[in-house]
Amino acid sequence: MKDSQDGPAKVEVTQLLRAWGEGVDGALEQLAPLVENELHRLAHKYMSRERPGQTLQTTALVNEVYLRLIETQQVSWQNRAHFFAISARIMRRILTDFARSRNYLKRGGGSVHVSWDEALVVSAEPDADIVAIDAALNLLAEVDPRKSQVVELRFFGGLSIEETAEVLKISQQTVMRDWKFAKAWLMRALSGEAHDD
Amino acid sequence: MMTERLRQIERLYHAALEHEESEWDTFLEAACAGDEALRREVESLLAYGKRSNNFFESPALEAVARALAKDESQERAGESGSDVDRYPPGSAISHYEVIAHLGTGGMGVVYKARDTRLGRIVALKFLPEHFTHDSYALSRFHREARTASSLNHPNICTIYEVAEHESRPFMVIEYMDGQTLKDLISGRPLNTDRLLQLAVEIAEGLEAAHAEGIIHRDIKPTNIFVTQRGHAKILDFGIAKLQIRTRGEAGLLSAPEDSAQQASARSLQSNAGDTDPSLTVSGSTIGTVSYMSPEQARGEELDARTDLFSFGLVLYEMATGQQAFSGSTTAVVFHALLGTQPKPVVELNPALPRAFERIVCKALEKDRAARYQSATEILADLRALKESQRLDAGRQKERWLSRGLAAGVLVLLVLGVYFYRQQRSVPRLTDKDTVLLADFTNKTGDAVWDETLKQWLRVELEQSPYLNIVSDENVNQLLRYAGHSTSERLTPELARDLCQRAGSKAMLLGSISSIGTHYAIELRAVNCQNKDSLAQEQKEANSREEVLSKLHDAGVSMRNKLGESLASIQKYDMPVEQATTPSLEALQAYSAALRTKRSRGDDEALPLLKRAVALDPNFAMAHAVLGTVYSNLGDAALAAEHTRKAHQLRDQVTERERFYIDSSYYNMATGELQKEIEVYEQWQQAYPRDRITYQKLAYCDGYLGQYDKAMAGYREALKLEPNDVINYVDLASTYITLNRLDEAQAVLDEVHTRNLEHEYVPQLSYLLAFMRGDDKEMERLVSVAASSPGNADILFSSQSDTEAFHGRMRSSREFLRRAVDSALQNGAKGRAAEWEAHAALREAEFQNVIQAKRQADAALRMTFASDVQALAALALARAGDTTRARAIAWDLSQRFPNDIWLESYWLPSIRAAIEIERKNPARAIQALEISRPYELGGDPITLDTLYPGYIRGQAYLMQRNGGAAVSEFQKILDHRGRVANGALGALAHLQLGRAYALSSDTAKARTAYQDFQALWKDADSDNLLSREAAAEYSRLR
Repeated sequence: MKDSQDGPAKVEVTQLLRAWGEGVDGALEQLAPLVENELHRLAHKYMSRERPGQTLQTTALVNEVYLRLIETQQVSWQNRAHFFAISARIMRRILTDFARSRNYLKRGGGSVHVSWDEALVVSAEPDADIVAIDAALNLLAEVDPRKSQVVELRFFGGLSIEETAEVLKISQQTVMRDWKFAKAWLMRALSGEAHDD
Repeated sequence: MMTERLRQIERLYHAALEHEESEWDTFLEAACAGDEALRREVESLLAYGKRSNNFFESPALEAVARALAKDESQERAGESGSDVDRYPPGSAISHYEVIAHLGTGGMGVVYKARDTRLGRIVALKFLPEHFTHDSYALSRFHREARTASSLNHPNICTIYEVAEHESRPFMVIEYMDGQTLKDLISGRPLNTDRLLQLAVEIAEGLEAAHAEGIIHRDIKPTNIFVTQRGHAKILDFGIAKLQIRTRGEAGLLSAPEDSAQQASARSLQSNAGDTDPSLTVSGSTIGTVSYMSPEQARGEELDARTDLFSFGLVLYEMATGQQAFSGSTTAVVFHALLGTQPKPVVELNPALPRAFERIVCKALEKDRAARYQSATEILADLRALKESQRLDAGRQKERWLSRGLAAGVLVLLVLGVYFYRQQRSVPRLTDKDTVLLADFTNKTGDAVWDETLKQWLRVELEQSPYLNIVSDENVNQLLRYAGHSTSERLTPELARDLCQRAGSKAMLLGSISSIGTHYAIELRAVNCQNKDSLAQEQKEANSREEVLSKLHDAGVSMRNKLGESLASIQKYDMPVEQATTPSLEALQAYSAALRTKRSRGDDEALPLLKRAVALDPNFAMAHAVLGTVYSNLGDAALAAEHTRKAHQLRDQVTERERFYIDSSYYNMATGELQKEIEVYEQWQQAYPRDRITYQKLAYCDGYLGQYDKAMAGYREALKLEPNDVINYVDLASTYITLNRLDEAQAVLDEVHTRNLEHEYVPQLSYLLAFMRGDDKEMERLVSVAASSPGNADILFSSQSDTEAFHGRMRSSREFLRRAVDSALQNGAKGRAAEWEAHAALREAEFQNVIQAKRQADAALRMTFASDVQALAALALARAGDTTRARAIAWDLSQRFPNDIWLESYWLPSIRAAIEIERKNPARAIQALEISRPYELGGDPITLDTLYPGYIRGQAYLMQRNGGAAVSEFQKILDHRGRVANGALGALAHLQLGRAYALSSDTAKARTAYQDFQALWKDADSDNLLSREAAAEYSRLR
């Protein structure tokens, strides 16, 4: 299951995804290292290209990763929706797991708290806290499962508005509305502010 | 599912977006038609919506990769900000030795360290890099920190010194265990006693600082720390001033009318090398602006009174669980802060005394001239209030007396004194007196009242912190003492006998009789020494349904007659029919279950409890006890399920029961040790005579490896209840852990003298014999266990451990088989699984990979309990099946995200074991960092302790770092009592030999190998490890 420098074979990933979708044991554990490998590769690209003050054109990179990982041609048309849904779900699990394991390493242990004014973040662009997003998304799913799915497909699955509409069999207009409202809702949930719904 | 409310909110949200932003107000005003909550909701979402434009625009994969890139580049460049690895454990910073990295935040990095000169533990706090490039900020930092370090007060976190290392300044501060006030409050009001105690302490800290001319300027709940002992400490004097100055100078606070958008856009870069030391202020800074004084918000010159305003806000939050001024944007907060009054605290928390409201209001005066003028002033008011509360709680009667005085009516005064004396001359109860409940005399002929009424009455009376009811467990012990069966009915005669034996002051007799549908209930409190009647109460019920509420009335009246103050009765007055169940049949099953549990054990109580929750699925306490019973029977999964259910229903129970449910919930359902501890602390405050809180807190201390504290707690609990066997069990196992064998022996002797029993007592005797090398005694104990049914499996498993400890695997497996079979026979499936998983791990350590995997599988098939799954996952990882280990670990982290023991002990061990398999020792060591504070702790009777150190030692061996490996393995041998007959106790010798061999210390290596071989002299001839050790030994010379 070691992967070469060139990344995993697309066919392999596609099959693993399918296996996972069909409830085959072990598929998730085999997939995770492949995704993590891509993560590291991507991170190194950022690092090597990064110059002060220059915004990176990253979307292309990410799309490339999805393409490298997933052989969409392999998937028959009628299964596409199901397949995308599975890909988004598994991406969510793997990324959350990965982020959580990194946090473990970073956080340090102990019940000791030293005053941190966490609001005073030095960086201009705070890291997205994937673990917190995952949790907030679970909350959202409790009150409105469809919106949670929209976010999962868009954010974790990397799908466009059109593709999301296709997967969920709803109009693009609805996807856009859901997306907009869900973002506001999640942002507020992440800020920890109480609300009553 | 989506509620109609949410749909409404969403519709309005989208409708508002179709309008210009400037029209939102008018639109919402009309659309919400006076529904203020709805309007706030939509407004807040709109505010967040505006900021969420770029949110989620790049896919998660990219976000994670970016974060990873940032981490890695920082790690490489050793950049500050989050330089976790800059000073790894063991590094020397001046004369401090780093123990662990504690945290990283916007204000720098903090390490736990040992002062090598003074031997004490301290925290080192480094400022963020950007401060160090600003000479003005730097000199200011030094000056401020030096001033602050002159503060020496018990309620201020001490700054020991300010020093520099590699030209980076750092502070050496007091290391504390506990949590911030914010975490303590976590959205709920504190109880009044605790609130006042902390308030007085914080005010004392402020008074001391202000007396030195030092203003804090950033008083807020995250800057106040509450230690494990419950004392307040103010953090960050000095450094706070620096923050505010930089913010103020950047002119950020001068425009309170700024819109949210502008506020969030004002993120200031602070690159290293940049001379502008400003910090980011964005919408997320609200937490900070929420505690500013009005003059601070306006950017005016400040004096000590700014701290008093902020302190007022902190008081407000402690009292209500809410911030006085909050809002979705900085502008909203500023607006509220400058122009509005917060909701009165008493409205949000009616339990608060009026005087407290006045104190908060005076502290929150917007005009500082009208505010408290000094910390001394507010402190005086808080102290006076605290004192009056104490008196109030003590004697309601005295309050009447003082009212008489205030009225200035002499006659009243005289009468008052007269009544007061009268009252005092009645032989009421003192706080040392206990009360014993007899069984009800049931003259109705309807068996349903036999046990239920007493159960109800117990719930009713036990919610009173004033009355000290003898617990069921104690009654049980007393019965045994007196030579009775524990299922014996407590007739008035027997009750009196027990009452005298227990040295109780009073007993409570109850009776019920009926004529047709008409019932008469009578309660009578009797002095059991001289039979004097202390109080009496009769109530009549006109129907069967009315019996309950009448019993409640009778109970309340009884409480009053026995001397409990009205205030206290009002505070703890959950009507008993609500507190338990409206179903008489469910209560009957529950009462029978409790009795059965006491006299015949958990397994027989189980069906009765199941019946109780089947009859009333909302019967909170029945679920809670069912959870405990499942836990005792080793079924952690069902224990968690029922405890969770009880927790959902916790609104329907009395205060005391709620403490029980909450603590069980954190213990069995979520594993949040810190929260569990908080519950016990609150419980102890509300009901200081409940020994269980001392015992549980002690247990938690032991869990965290703080054995001295733990022992003190057990002794305290024993003082309150010398017949509670669990205290002896925990105390004895703590002594064994500390290798203090004679003291352990003395405790166990006491258990026998007192004729107490517990399933783990034989095991403790066995471990004690093992530690003393007393083979005969061990053998005797095993054969005694074998001939008595019930808990033989525990000793079989212990013997299996001992056999393995000596490398006799065939015999070890034989005993394991017997342990598992015996446990299964007794229906203790959870324990069977535990024995299997425990053995699997040992097999893996002995390199019997196939055996290990098979047994781990067997364990996993039997249970969903998290600790057994973790153990099995570790065994799998050690046996090379990293894929499955990883999957189980992942699943556990999902199911129990807050379980401290999983998070800090098992999961790091599993992760490290996986890294070892991948030949990645550095990452293994890193993964184990989080375990350091905990690895000597754990459940006193737990298996497989000290694993993190063992794996870490192995990682050092892989790195060929003999010295570091020696210290890890030596640590295991230094804690013999902790590891006892566990496999690591033997293996550590072998590993120590390897470590010394690596360090080329052949003499010590030889000794270590010889020690190992001595332990394994009778090992099975085909033992792989034994052969390997012999081969290595022969290569040594």
